[in-house]
Amino acid sequence: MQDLYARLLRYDFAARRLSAAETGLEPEPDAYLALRVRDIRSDGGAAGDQAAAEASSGLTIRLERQTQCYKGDPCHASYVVGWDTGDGGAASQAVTGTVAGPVVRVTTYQVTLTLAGETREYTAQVRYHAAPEGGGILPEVVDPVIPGLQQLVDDRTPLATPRWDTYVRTRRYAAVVQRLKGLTRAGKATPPGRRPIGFLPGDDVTPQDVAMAMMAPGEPCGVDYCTGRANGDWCPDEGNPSCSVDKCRAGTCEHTEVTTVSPHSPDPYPVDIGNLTAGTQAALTCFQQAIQNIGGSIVVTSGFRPQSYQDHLREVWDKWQLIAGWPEAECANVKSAVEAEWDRHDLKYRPAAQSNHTVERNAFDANVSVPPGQNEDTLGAGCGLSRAVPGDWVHWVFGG
Amino acid sequence: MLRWTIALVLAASSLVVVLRGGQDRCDGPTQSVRVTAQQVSGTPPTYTLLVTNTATAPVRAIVIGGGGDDPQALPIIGLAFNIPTSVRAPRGWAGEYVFGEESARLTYVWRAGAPAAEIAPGQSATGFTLVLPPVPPGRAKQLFNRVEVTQVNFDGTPFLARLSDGRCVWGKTGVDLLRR
Repeated sequence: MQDLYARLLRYDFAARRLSAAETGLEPEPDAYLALRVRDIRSDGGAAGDQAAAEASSGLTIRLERQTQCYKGDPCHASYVVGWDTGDGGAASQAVTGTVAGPVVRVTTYQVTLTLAGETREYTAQVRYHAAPEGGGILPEVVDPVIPGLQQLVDDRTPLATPRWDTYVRTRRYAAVVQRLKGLTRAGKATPPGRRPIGFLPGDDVTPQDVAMAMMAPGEPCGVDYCTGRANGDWCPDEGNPSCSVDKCRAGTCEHTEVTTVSPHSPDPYPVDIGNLTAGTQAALTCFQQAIQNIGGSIVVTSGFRPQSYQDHLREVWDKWQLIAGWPEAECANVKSAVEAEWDRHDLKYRPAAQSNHTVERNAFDANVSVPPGQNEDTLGAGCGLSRAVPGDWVHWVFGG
Repeated sequence: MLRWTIALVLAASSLVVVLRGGQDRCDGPTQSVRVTAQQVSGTPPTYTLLVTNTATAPVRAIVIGGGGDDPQALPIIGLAFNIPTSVRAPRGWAGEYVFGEESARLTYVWRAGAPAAEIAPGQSATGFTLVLPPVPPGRAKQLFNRVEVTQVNFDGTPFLARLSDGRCVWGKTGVDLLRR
C-alpha cells in the first residue's frame, strides 16, 4: 500500500513536469502532492469487514490519468492530481465495491495529505478479498479522499518524461521500451525479484542498457535530438541493422556505417627493401655497415609499401577511430575485426594518404642502437640519410 | 630505479610511444585480468605467460607491451634482443609480434581464433610462450635514442586485455624469474 502512494507521488510529479515543459510555467513548491502514511494495522476479515474508512466529507482528490504514446510502443503515463471542485470532468470514483469476493483481511492506516495548501488527515483501508475459484487475494484500496486510488493497483506504466517529443528520440526511451517489451514477452508486469517502494518498469534501466539500446526501424533521424548538443555526442540509432555510429555533428545526427577493414594480402606486408630506389638501397647498406662497424645494431621494420597497403593502414586507423569506443551490439562483430587489425599494426599516427615509403620509395623505418659516444644521425648523414620528421625516431629518408 | 629513470627520460624526449591515438581508452590498472610470466629457460630466454580472467567477460586478446594510459609504463623497444625467435600459443589462439607502424615499439599479440577459445571469467590459460634471442655478453644494455634499454623480462611490462564485450583493460605483468 505504501508502494501505491509512492507511485501516485511519482505520477503526480511527472504530470507537473510535463505541464511545466509545455507551458513554461514552473509549479509552485506546494503545488505537488505530499502524503504521509502511518499507524498501519492489520485486522482479521470479520472485524475488517465491519470497519469502514472514515466517511468521506468535504473535498476529494480527483485523479486524471494521462498517457503519452509513440507509434506502437508501450505508453507512458502520468496522473494529474487535483482537488475535485465538482465542476465537471471526471467524477469522483466509487469508494468501495470495486473488487468482488469476501474480505479476509483489512489493513487500516492514517493518511496525512497536502495539496495546494489544503491538508486532510484521515483513515483509509486496504481490504483483501478472496477471489472466486481460488484466484488468490485481491486488494481493494478504500481511500475516502482519493477515491480513484484503486486504479493504480494494477498500473505499472512507466513514467512519462518531458519533453516527450524529445524523449522518444533518446536511447533511454529506447532502452525502457525494450525492457517493457521484454517483460511483456515474459508475461510479467515487473521484473522478478524485490523492487523498491514506488518502483515502475524502466527504473531499472542501467546506463549500459541505454548505451546498447537501439531505436526502432524507421526512426526519424534525430535532428531535433542534436539541436544544441556538442559534436560527438551520441544520438539515436536510425534503425539500420548494420553497424553504424550515431553521433551529433553540427546539430544533426549523423549515422556513419562502419564495415570491416578490407583485407590485404600479405598482412602485415613484409619488409621490402628490393622495391626501394637504388639510391635508398645503397644508403641503407651503407648505414647498416656503418652501424656494424661501431658495434651498434639496426632492425629495419618497414621498407617499400605498396599503395594498397598504405590505404589498408589508413583504413585501419580511420575505422578504429570510429568504432573503438562504440558499444552497440550491432557493431560487435565489426569491432572485433577492426580491433584485430588495430592490434596487428599498432598505429601511432594516422598514416599519410601518400607516403615516401610508397611514392618516392626513398624511406624506411629502422630501430637503431649505437654505443655511447656515437651518434646515429651523424652515421646516417654520412650515407645520405636523415630523420626528417620530428619525434619520429624510426623514419629514415634518403636525400630528404 | 633504472626503470623509472628510463621512463622519465623517454617522456622527456617526447617519445610517447605508449599513448595511442583515437578512442582506445582502456580501464586500468586492472586487477580483473592478471598476466604472470614464468621464465622457463635462461638460455635462450623463454617465458610462458599465465593469463587469469576475473573480469565479467571473456578475454579474447592479449597485447603485451601495448595499451594503457599510464605514461610511466615502459614500452618494449623493437631492438634485436626483443624480437622473438618463437611465439607459441595455446590451442585456438594465434600469437605474433608486431612492430608499431612509425614507432619503435614492439608488441606481442595473442588473439583467440573463436569465442570457444576465449578465456572465460574465472578461468586461466597458459601456453602463451615467447622465446627471445640469447643476449651476448656486453650487449645486455643498449642505447636507443640515448636511452638505455635492456631485454624485456616482463617485470612490470604493460599489457592490454581485450574483452569479448568490446571493453579493454590494461595492467602490468608480473614475473617469476629463474634464479641464476
